[in-house]
Amino acid sequence: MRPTLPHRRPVGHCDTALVAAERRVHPALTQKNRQDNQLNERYQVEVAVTGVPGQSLSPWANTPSSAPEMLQTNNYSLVLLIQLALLTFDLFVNSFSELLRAAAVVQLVLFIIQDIGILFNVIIILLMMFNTYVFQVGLVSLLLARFRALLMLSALYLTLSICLHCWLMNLRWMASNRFVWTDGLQVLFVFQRIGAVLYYYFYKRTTEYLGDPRLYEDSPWLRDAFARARQ
Amino acid sequence: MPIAKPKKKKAKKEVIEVDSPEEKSAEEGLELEGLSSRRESESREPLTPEAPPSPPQKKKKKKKAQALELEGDQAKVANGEGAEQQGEGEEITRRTKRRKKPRAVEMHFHNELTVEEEELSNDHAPIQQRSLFSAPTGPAFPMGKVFVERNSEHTLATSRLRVDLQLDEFMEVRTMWSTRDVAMRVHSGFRVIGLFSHGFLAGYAVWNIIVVYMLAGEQLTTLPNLLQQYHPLAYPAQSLLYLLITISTISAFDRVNLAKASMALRGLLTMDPAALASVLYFAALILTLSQQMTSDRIHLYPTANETLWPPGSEQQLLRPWVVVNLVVALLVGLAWMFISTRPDMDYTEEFLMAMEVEDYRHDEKLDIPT
Repeated sequence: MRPTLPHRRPVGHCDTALVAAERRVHPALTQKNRQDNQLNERYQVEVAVTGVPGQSLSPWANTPSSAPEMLQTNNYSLVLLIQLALLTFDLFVNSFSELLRAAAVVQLVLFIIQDIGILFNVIIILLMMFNTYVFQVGLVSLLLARFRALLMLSALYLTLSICLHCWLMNLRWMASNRFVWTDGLQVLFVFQRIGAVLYYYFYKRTTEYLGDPRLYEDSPWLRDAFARARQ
Repeated sequence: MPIAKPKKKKAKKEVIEVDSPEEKSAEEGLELEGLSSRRESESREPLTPEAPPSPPQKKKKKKKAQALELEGDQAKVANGEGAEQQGEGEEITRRTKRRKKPRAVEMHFHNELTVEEEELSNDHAPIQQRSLFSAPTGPAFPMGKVFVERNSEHTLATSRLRVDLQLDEFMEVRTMWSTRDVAMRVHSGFRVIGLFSHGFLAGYAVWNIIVVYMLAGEQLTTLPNLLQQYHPLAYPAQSLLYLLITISTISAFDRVNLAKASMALRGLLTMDPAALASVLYFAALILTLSQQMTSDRIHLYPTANETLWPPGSEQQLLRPWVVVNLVVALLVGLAWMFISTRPDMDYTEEFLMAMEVEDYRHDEKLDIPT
């Protein structure tokens, strides 16, 4: 009985790098591990079918996404869509809010939604981190060390945004279409906009990074990290 | 060739009779009925086999096996001989049937085929007797049950080869996405948006500075004309410029993988185009943001003419603004040229594919954690 063959992605130049990288990352993958044996068997079957060694999937990519402990593709896609939508809205407000200041309340509503969106984005990224297997086994410090740049940037950007919005609303509330700029406001404005660019970049990168299935399953490197943390 | 037909029929009978003992020893018998209707069906449901018919029924054979691979192969071989004898209509029918071959082949591998009795045609037209290697030219409707030899050594070898080929196609068609695939697809999509943004920003910046210089006149002598004509465009242009520079900057950061500071620094020292473009876009971003105040002042020129624009202050306020806009246009144009030299370079994509989860232990001091 021919075993069930795994799916296969379009082969690109990065697949070989992926396989090589994963072999480098998981040096303890030996035949003694029962799970590794099964994965290797599947790997060999796939090689036998395709007849092209090195172009097959890595064992990690063959893991079915329907396993309860895995991050399911549909859920991840939905979360990614929400995050990108919030980022897009934030960029839109940063770019065009100054054009929509005919009525002060319009700009106020936009600023409130933007700040809430930043907060939601931070909450979502934290929830994604909490959903990883790395966090569930107790290696919080590993995750924080890995994602500290984004967390710090998010907090900084949220602070700068709230300060700028409060200052602008305070200046424009009585007369929305007048010249309110000062040197201090200009500096805060520049820092907030530059912080936005860095926030967008690191946030996008982090959400893409959190799509790695290896963060949601056991692996030798995780066992090593856990052993080191316990020492 | 009417004379030859009876002989061929006898030969066929002999072949069938010879094959029947082998069929008896086969693991599964095959009974085929109504091949034309099944051939066009896209259903992949396994077809349940019927009980092996009695030997006398095997003698009745109507070649509807163009849907089956075995008989299709015979037709292939036979076409060289039988093409002369067939009419154009039959050839067209045969070609149409051959196009259905891939789907029929998939059905073939279920090893079980069933044809409903009702699909059999009651029109018992005389079966044209042909040579063993000629393609069937009978009407395209089921006439009777056909037994096909299976599980012989040759058929098993060929069927296994076809299984491998067809399963490859099947796997490619039924590709399942993982979360990593989704992430890579999002990253690739943003790279496309970034590529568009690079070019659009460069063109827009050049257009903007040309308009400013045309309105400002030679040596910036007609600045009131610039204020009068350009004030509705100042703030929207500033907003659009910030939007495009932001997208372009993020795209350039992605290409150089800025989070890996060691890699980005090495790229900058080696004059990597993506690293240089990142620096240029970031500088353009800072310069653009620094002109937010002046752009708002230009935007408010009609409403607060004397307070914001005292007479004689146009040169003092607008000359730096024009120069900065010119520098921004040069920076984004130059960055776009650098990006265009290697548009497919993307270090972040390679990083995402590798996703070294252990690198935080080795590059803590050099890299910016994600």
